[in-house]
Amino acid sequence: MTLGRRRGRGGARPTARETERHALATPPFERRRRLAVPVLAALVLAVALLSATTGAVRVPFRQLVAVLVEPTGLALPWAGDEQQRAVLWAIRLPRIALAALVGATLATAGAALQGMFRNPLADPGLIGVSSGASLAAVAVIVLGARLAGSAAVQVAGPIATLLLPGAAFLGGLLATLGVLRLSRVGRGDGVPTDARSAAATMLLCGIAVNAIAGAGIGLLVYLSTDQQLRDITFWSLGSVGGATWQAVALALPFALATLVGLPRLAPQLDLLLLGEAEAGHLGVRVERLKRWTMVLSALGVGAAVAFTGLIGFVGLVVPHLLRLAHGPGHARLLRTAPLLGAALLMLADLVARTIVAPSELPIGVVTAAIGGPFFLWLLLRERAGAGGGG
Amino acid sequence: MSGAPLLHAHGLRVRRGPRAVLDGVDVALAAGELLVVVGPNGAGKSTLLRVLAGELRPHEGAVRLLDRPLGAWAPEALARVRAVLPQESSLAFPFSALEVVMLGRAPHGGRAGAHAYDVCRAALDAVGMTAYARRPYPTLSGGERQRVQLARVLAQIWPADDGAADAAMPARLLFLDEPTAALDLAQQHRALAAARRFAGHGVAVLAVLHDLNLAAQHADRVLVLHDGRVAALGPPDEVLTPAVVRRVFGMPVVRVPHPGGGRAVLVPIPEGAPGAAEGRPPTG
Repeated sequence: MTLGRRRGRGGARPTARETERHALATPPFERRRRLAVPVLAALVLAVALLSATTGAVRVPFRQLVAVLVEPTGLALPWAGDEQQRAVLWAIRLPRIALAALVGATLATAGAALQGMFRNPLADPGLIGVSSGASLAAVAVIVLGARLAGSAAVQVAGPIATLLLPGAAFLGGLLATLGVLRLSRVGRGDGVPTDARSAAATMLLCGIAVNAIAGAGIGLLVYLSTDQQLRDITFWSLGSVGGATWQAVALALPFALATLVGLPRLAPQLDLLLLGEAEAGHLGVRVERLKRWTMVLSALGVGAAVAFTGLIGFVGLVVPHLLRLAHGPGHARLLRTAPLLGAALLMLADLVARTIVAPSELPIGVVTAAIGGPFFLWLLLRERAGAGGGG
Repeated sequence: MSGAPLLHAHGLRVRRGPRAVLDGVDVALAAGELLVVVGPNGAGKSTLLRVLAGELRPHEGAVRLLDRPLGAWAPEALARVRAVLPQESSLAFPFSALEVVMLGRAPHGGRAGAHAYDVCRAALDAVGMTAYARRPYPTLSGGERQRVQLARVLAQIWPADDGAADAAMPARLLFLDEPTAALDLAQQHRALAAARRFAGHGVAVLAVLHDLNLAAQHADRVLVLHDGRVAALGPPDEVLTPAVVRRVFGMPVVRVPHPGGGRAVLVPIPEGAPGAAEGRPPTG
């Protein structure tokens, strides 16, 4: 019965020609491709649950469910106590949400930028957003206190807490726009358009802007007090520790620009992998595509860096892992990258806050410590496997 | 065979620094013809191809496609009628060969477009790469990659199999920059035969080649480019003469009848070879 219905959908039995077409359309990755999204979605859910139940205050799964459904008015008989409720809503859940959002954004932006630069080693840092945000954040840490101290400006609480993320976000965006603008200097009308060197120019502009921001940061570090130096160091290593629902809400729209916007560029990013000239011949407006990719990436990454500091590695490794798993097509990659990125960063945060409890490791240390060796193992394994030419 | 020109270019000038890479080139390309561009290294062949394909804007001169300036074409519309095979393409990401060819269908709706798989299959078949359809592109050899790229550009402007679409899309152009550079002898002829068949379907084909005999055998017309200028333009047997070759390439050659009955072939005379047919030293 079921069998009959399944066949009935396509009409008659598949013809030999159709079977052959199917075989052609079925690259080696096909099974993994179909499973990628559901498996990763399950992983995200599992890590989120694990993280929500684990910590100094243990919240067993039943109590977690009870606390989660409470706002809907549903009171389960095994409801959690006041402490569990407070820890979950005020600390753990916003933290999980922010980690998921930031991980998803970094991974998606990384995937799109690797495609844009046609280089699997590119990461969001290359478009200047991280260094621009760092410079602004360090400036706030070092100069903010002086300004607040000297001037009679008595900054109100919420504004003060938003000063650093706001400045970091703007700094990141400005640096990216600077890279974009610089890479287009001297390419106006009348000059023969030559797409071949454009990506390299952009890469070099990014490196130059990073160096300039680095000089600024160095100068500010030189001027900083010991306490400020400590703040700068911890900010640079990244943390989702201070997560609040306010931070999640503020980061969300920018993260969505990345998470929803970039997948819309997927077919064109596929063509860009052939080369900029080739993509142009296939009808892609290459400059516009690159501009959108950079801006949409910078919005999300800027917000991520603003609230969590510098978290390396996720944007580089997640897309790489997924390409090994299901091939380089961006339509799929930009849907799987946010899932794996979210799972990875939630897991890293779980490790960061439990492994040396009651103290906490910076999350950047954890992502690098887990990700680095795993990545190496994977690369070496692929290399060994590639000998057969499969 | 040849119809009215689809593509018209006149007075093309492109400078790179003080040097003129193209210096007043006029050329027209007609539907159904295979025009081969030959010339020494640095003569401006690739630059000419890129200008005609709309990739490079000339400093002076204009290109018109179907009586509209090339710059007035929307990139998407241009991509449906004109395909370009660059000299070398680097693709480091592990798409399968079939997926690479499928990228060529992007202007026609990609995977979801009509007949997408049939077209890609036929294109792979045309370059003899059907057996490699599922192989990751980076694992292919140089020549195999070039054939996959050729299949990709063929798929981009593949003749529609129903008459209506053909009528709606009368003009198609194919630009090939050294399509045979990495290919073995048999594949070189196979690639040009595929280009030839496209011309037979009314496609205007322009190919840059280095092998003069390959040009002589497959071209309808040959354009000899020398220092950015047109040194000769016309049917192969009028253009590829020992005099032109000596003047442009600085290489003495003799032209001998093809033993198999094909078009005449050019045979180089090495300098100082005993019994050099015409006995005159190269002048240029």
